[in-house]
Amino acid sequence: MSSLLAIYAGAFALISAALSVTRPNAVHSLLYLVVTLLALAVCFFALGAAFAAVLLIMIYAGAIVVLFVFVVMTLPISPEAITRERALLRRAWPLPVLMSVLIVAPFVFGEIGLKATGQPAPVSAQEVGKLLFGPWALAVELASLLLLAGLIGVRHIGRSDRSPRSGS
Amino acid sequence: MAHLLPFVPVPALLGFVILSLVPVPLSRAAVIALGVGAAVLPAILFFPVGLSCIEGVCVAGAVVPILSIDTGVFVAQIAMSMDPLSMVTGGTVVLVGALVLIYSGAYMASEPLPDLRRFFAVMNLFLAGMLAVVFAADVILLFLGWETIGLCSFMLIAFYDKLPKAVASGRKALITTRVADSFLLAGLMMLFLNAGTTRLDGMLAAVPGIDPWRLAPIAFLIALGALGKSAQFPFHTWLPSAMAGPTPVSALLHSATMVAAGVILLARLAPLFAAAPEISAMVAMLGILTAALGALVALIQTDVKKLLAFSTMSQIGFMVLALGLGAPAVALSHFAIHAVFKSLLFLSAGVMSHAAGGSTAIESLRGSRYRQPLAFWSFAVGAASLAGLPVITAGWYSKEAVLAAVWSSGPWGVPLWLLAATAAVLTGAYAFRVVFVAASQTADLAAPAWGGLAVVVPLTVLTLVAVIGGLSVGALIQFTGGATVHTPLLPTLLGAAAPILGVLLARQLVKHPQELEALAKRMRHVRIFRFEVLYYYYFVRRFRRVATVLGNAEGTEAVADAVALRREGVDVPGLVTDDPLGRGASQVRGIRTDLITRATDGQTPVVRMVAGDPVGRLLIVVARLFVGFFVARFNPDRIDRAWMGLAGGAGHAWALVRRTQTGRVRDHSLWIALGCAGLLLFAWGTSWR
Amino acid sequence: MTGSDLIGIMILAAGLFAIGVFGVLARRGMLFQLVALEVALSGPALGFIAAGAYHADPEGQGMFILVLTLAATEVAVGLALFLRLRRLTGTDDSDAISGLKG
Repeated sequence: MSSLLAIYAGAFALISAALSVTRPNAVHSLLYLVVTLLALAVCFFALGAAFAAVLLIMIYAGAIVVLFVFVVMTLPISPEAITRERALLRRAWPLPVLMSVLIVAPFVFGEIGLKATGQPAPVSAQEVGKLLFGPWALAVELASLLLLAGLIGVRHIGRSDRSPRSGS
Repeated sequence: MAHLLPFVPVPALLGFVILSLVPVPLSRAAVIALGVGAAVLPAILFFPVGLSCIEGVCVAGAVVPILSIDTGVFVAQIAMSMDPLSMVTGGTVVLVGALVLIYSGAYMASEPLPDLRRFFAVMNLFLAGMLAVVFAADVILLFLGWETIGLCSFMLIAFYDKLPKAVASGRKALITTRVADSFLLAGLMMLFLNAGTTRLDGMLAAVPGIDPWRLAPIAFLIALGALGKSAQFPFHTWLPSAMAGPTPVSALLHSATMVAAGVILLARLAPLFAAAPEISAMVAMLGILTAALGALVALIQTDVKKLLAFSTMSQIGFMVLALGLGAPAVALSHFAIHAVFKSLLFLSAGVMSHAAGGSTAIESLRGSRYRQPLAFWSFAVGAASLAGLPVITAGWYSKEAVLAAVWSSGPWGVPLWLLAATAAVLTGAYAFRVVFVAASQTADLAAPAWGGLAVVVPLTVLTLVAVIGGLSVGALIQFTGGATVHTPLLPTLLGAAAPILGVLLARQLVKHPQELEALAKRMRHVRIFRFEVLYYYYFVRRFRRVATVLGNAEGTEAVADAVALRREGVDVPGLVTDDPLGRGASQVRGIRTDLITRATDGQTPVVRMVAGDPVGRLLIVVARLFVGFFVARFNPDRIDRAWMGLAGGAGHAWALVRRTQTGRVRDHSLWIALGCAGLLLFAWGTSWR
Repeated sequence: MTGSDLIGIMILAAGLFAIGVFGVLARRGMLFQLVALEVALSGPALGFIAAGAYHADPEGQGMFILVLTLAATEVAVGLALFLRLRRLTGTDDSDAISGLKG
C-alpha cells in the first residue's frame, strides 16, 4: 500500500517536473518546481523517510525556492520575453530529448528484469544522526567546508564594483 | 615536558591569524612586536622540550599524539614525533627562525605598513608550517606543512608585487615545486596504500614487507618530491631566481630551512631508501652533480645573493649525497650547521649591501670592512664556516663528516670523494672571493648608520654558533643515531687542505680579476646552468645546424669544405659537375651537395684510398646504387612537402576542433550528458544477462 | 507487486534526472537552467531515499542530506553568478556569455 502511494507520488513529481522545465514563464516554472518537491516529499513519507521528507519541505521547498523567488522578483517578465523563450525552446528540443532518452533507457531496460524483494522499512532520524556524526563525521565536515567555500564565493561574486575595497 | 611539543608551532600560527585576519588597524610598532614575538615564543617553548631530551626522553620512535580521525576504514593518527631527528631539525628551525625574524624587524622597518603586516603574517605562517614539517610523525601533518611552506615561499618571493620580475620568480618557484609536490603526493599515497597507515613509523615498519617492484617507484616518486623542494639538479632552476624576495626571506626560507625540507624528509624516510638501493644511488648522483655544478657556477656570479643561492644548492647537494650514501645522521648535522652559517651569511650580506646603498653586486661591497666591521667579520666567519677552514670552524667538522661518509661508502667512494673534494675547493674559492673583495680598501667610506640591537644580537649569536658549533657535530651524529666514521689520515689531511687551496684560489682570482672574467667567458655554457638556455644551446642549435645541412642551404660547412677541397685539386665527387647519379636538379642550382652524397663520396681521402682496389670500388658502387634507389626518394623537397602538409593539416584540425569549443553552457553540458549516457550504457552492457 | 516497487521508483528517479538534464540542455535562460538543475538533483535524492528504505539502512538518508547541502550551495553560487552576469552583460541568455575574460 505505502509503496503504491510512493510510486503514485513519484509519477506526479515526474509530470510536474516535466512541466517545470518547459514553462516559458519563470513564475510558472517555479510553481511547478514547488509542486514537484511537495510530491517528492509525499513520496519520501510513503517510503518511511519522514525526516528526509521534512527536510525536503523545509530546505528545498522553503529556503531554496524562496531564494529563487527573490531573484525572479528582480526579473522583468514581459509578454515578449515569454514568447521569445517559447520560440527558443521550440527550436532546441530534439537533441536534448534524445539525450534524456539515452540516459533513461539503460535504467528502464537494465532494471526491468531484476528481481527485487522486500518492503520499505521506516528509518528513524536517530539512526541517521548516529550515522552522520559517527562514521561519517568526515563527510559532514567536508560538507561544512563546501558550505563555507560557497559562502565566501558568493560574497566575493556579489560584491559591487563601484567600491572595490569596501568592507574588506 | 613532552606535552609542550604540540604547542611549539602555535604562537607562530596565532601570529599569522592575528596579523592577517583580525581587522583591527595596528600600529607599526605593534605589528613588528607581534610578528617578532610570535617567532621568538616557539623558541622559548621549545627550550624545555629540548632540555627534557638531555634527560633521555627522546628516543627513536617517541611520539606525542594530537588527535585521531576515525574514518571507519582506518584511523588517521595525527601526531608529533619526539625522536632525535625532529629535535635536531626543530631546534635549528626555531633558533634560526627567531633570529632571522628579530633581524627582519629592523630590516623591513621602513616598508609601508600594509606590506609590513603582510610580511610578518606570511613569515609566521611559514614558521608554523616548517615546524609542522619537522615535528610531523604522520604524513598528513607533514604534507599540510609541506604545502604551507610552498605557498608561503611563493608569497614571500613575490613580496614586492609591483615588480613583474619578482612575481614571475614566485610563479616559477610555485610551479616547479608544485610539480615536484605532486610526485611526492603520489609517492606518499602509494606508500599509504601499501602500508595501510598514515603514521611514518608504521609506514617504515611496513617497508620490509613491500614487494621491491612496488618499493622502487614509491621511493623514486618521494625522492623526486624531496629533490624538487630542495632545488636539486632537475628542479634547481627556481632557487636562483627566488632571490627576488627580501633578504631575510632568502636567509630563512631559501637557504636555512625550507629548501632543506627535502633533506629532512629523505632523512626521515631513510629506511625506505635503504631498501631501494638503486634509487639511493640516483639520489646520491644527483646530489654530487648539484654540489659540483652549483659550486662551479657560484664561482663566477657577480651578485652576492645569487652566489649564496648557488652555494645553498651546492651545500644541499652535499647533504643529499650523504643521504644517498646512507648516512642520514651526517646529513642532518650538516643541515644544522649549514642553516646557521648560511643564515649568518645572508644576514650579514644584507647589512653590508644596505650600507653599500642597497646594491647586492659583489663589487659594490668593496670597503665593507671599514664601513660595517661587525657585519664584515661575521660574514667572514660565515664564509670560513662555509668553506670549512680546518679545526676552527663548525663547517669543517660537518663537511669532514660528509666527506668521510663518502670515502668509506664502498667501491665508488674514492672517485666520489675526489669530486666532492673538488667541490669543496671551489666552495672555499667562491666564499672567500666575496670576503677579499669586501676587505679591500675603497675611497667611498660614507657609512650610513644602520644597526642596533636587532641586528647585533642575531649576528653575534649566529657567529658564535658558527664557530663553536663544530664541537657539537660529533655529539649530533651520535645523537641522531649515526656512527662516527674513522677515516684514514690521508683523506682527512687532503680534505683539510681543500678549503685552504680554495682560499688561495680566491686570493688569486681577486688579485687578477681578468682571469675570472676569462673563466666566466669559457664557462658560458655552464653559467647558463639554467635549463632553457642550455636546452637551446645543445639541442635547438644543433638541430638547426642539421636542418640547414639537410636543407642544402648554400654557405654551409659542407659546401665550403667541398669547394676548398676542389680548389686544392682533390677530386670531390659530391659537387655538381661530376654528380655520379646525374640528378639534373642540381645543375640548375649550381654548387650543391647533400648529407647523403657527403656520407658516400664526400670524405674524399678515404674514398680515394679505397678506389684503387676492386672490392672497395664494388662496395662504393653498391652504396651509390642504394643511395640512388632508396635514400634519394626521400629528397628534401618531398620531406618538406609532407612536413608542411602535416603542419597545414594541424591548422585545419585546429579550426575543426575549435568549433566544438563554443563556450556555451548548453553545449558543454551536452558533452557532459553524453559522457554520462555513455557510462550508463556501458554499465548496462556489462551487467547484461 | 512488492518485488518491483523499488525498480519502479528507481526508474522514476532516473526519469527525474533525465528531465533535469533535458532542461539544462534545452533552455537558454540561466534561471530556467538553474531550476532544471534542481530537478536533476532531486532524482538521485529520490534514488538514495528509496534504496535506503528498501534496505532499512540509514545511509540512504545520510546521502540525501549531503545532496541537500550540495544543492543549497549550488543554488546560492548559481544565483549569485546569475545576478552578477545579468548586471555585467544585461542579458539572461546563457549563450551570450560564451567568451572567457568577459
